[in-house]
Amino acid sequence: MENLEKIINIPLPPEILWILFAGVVVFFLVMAFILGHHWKYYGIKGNSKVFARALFWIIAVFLIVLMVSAILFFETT
Amino acid sequence: MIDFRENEHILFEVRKHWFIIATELSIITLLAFLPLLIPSILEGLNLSITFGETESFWSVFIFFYAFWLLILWIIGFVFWTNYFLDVWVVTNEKILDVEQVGLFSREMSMLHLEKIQDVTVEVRGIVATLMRFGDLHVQTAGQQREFIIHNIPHPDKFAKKINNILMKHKDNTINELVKTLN
Repeated sequence: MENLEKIINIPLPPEILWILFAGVVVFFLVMAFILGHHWKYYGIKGNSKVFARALFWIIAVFLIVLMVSAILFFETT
Repeated sequence: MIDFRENEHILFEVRKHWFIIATELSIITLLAFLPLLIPSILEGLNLSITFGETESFWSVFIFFYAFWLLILWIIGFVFWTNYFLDVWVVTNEKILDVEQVGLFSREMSMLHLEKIQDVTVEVRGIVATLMRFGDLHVQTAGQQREFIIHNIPHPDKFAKKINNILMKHKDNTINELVKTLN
């Protein structure tokens, strides 16, 4: 029997990806503000706070850059 | 922010056992890897997905995967923050129970040492027994509610510590204990 590949086409304009991106970035910024406030005022001190903040931002920014790169690549292909 | 009186000193703090946060973070880690199965599933079903004019499946996949990971990353830090802020602080005057429930609910209760009547330990279940964590109950005189801290490591040791502090508090020798800690 012939093995036929089924192709599903989902119409996805890049604008939708940009809107989703904007939404998740706003969510991230709000949560970063809330978490930062909690760490500062409710007693997470010293190295734990510095380490948590650095780790949180580095990985988040990496993921945001990855998302932007993916959208730009999607737009150009 | 927790404010203490001038002559008040923190004797120790207790947080939940690391197994609790490890379990929550393991679930998040598992969820992080889950979308990686999608390409294999599509291949197994002999399906190919394209997006409009373009055939760049991978750029869309990477976008949604990074989107998913960012949300999980934030949730992971919310769990960690809740874990870190949920604490019992034992001072030479009182026990302070700070309960963080979600990001926007925070409850602080105080229990003065002279009101404590009894401290009991409860270890329930095979995991708790093996990993040595459990609940600590502090019963008080009067109408105040019972204080419970859930899933603390080595609850028997903490019960002994609190009993020791109570004895010193009754004997008025607790300041000697404070001096040894400072």
